[in-house]
Amino acid sequence: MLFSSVYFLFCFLPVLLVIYFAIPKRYNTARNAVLLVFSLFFYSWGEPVYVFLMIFSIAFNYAMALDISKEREVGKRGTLVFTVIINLLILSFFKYYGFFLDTVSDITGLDITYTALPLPIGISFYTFQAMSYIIDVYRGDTKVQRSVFRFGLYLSLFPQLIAGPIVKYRDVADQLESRETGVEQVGEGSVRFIMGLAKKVILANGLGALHASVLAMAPHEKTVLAYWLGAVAYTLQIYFDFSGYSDMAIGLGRIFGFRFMENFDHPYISRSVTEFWRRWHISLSTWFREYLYIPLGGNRVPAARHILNLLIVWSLTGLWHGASWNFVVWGLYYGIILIIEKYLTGRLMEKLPSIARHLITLFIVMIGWVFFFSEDLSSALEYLRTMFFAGGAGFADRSFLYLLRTNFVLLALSCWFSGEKPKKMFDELSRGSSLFAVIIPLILFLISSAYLIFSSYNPFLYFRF
Amino acid sequence: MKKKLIFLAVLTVFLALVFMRQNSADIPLADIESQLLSETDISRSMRKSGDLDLLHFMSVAPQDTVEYLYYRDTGALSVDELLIIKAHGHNELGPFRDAVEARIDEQIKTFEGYGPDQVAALNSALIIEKGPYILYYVGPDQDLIEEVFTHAI
Repeated sequence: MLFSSVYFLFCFLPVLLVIYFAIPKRYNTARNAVLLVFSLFFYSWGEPVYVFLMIFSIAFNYAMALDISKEREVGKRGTLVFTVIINLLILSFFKYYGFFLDTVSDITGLDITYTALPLPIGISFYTFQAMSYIIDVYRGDTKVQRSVFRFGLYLSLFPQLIAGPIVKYRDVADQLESRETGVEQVGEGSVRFIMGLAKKVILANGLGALHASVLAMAPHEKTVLAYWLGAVAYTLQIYFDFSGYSDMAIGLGRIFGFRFMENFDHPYISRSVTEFWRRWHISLSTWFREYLYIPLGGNRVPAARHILNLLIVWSLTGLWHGASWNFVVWGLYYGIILIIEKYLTGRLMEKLPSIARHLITLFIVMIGWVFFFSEDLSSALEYLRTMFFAGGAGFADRSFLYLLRTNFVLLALSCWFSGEKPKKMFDELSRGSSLFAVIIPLILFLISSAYLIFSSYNPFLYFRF
Repeated sequence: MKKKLIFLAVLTVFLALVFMRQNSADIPLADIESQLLSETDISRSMRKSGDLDLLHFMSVAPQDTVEYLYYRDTGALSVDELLIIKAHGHNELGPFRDAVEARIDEQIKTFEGYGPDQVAALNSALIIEKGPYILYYVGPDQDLIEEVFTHAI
């Protein structure tokens, strides 16, 4: 079920809100039970059989964590290792088994046939949440959860279940026991949710249609500028799509009294790739830093080991995004650029004017997205060849001008909204006028609903992870 | 240790069942067709097409498929069509996927400039791959078609 679907907005969510808020605040356990049941129903919407996998993950990680906390006291870690292995095994079974067989086929020349399994939605997100919990229990960073229902709610909570943010258990442990819910939280959460919905429906979907139009161009229509336009459209689309989803998740969490971590902080204003990754998909970067990069030694090791650590972390970050070599290359691309920034160009970059640093960062990020949106490595290289005049395509033609003319306003608005100013302006004006604070979200909600009813182009890019 | 073994056993059984379910989703297209006919309106708006049409319109040779199901609206200005192909395995769907994409590109090219509704419909064409099956559909009630198809297999 999509947040940006008519069914979710006008059926699932209202019914849940009515039931949830009909239960008095003091009955937190009953409220948790309602959220848990609705979350499992939400999850079972697409592929009902996988709700059993979710229930298994809940039971398994809950039970293992109890053992881990006991073993920890006597200095053992066998159960921790076992639990991590099983979690990774489940993820690999669904996500990487086809990729592995394809790779073996390519290397050996054997024609291995297999049946691909549908990927359980959000498996990469909730597996990482489960692992953060058990590792934190082992490290003593959080107390073990004695209630399977509370732990079940943490793992399956529908706002962040299928596309993040990756919420760490220790950040919401107290909120599972008791949380503040009231008019203020509902208002705050609703505005955040509507902002996310508008980002997704009004901006991201339009940008997605533009990007799809470029990809669907007939060979004779392909031009260098059209391909650049496609890359710009995707760069903006993925930001509004994913940050819009995160806003919706954070807003929904707020409505129900939870505070989730921020996942985006205007990444396209960054002046270096290092800064970009501090602002993009913050919950994933934090996860990898905390549970992989730092245990590997982080940057407190000799340069050669540090470089190796970065390459390991970034190739796995790429692989987390998708079971395909272009994602591995995308991850390594960032690993290498971060190494270059750290050891070669970092100081040089600091001497450049701010605008130049900004443009260089955007250029690097945009090239990275080509690997990300391409179906495979060869398509990505083909796309890049055309972008850089090596694909034999012309410079521009009428199709490009038509696409640019018809999407210019959307692109200009998207560029402006990707910056910090619109948010600051909205916050300032909202503080000055409560009417403004209500009217703007209401208008955005009406426009978004109209878009949803009259448009069928509504994919969420991060659902496939 | 006992707890771990129980979890491992449950997981193994579940994964085996999921795998077998996916593998054993070897449903004849005739069954899928009868479900589509009973639960959707495709027979009202489209006609069943044969080998020549499959080759002519989709550039797919019937002998390359295990079996196929092809319905199309024969109206000159309609782009509505439904195609389901069963291949020998999921990793053999590539050429059929390419054929579908080429068909969409070609149709968009044909209608671009004077058929905005047709172009919009083609741009939001439904393409689903599941196991050894690929479904391509342009037309109304995409959610229903998707639901019937995914439930059938």
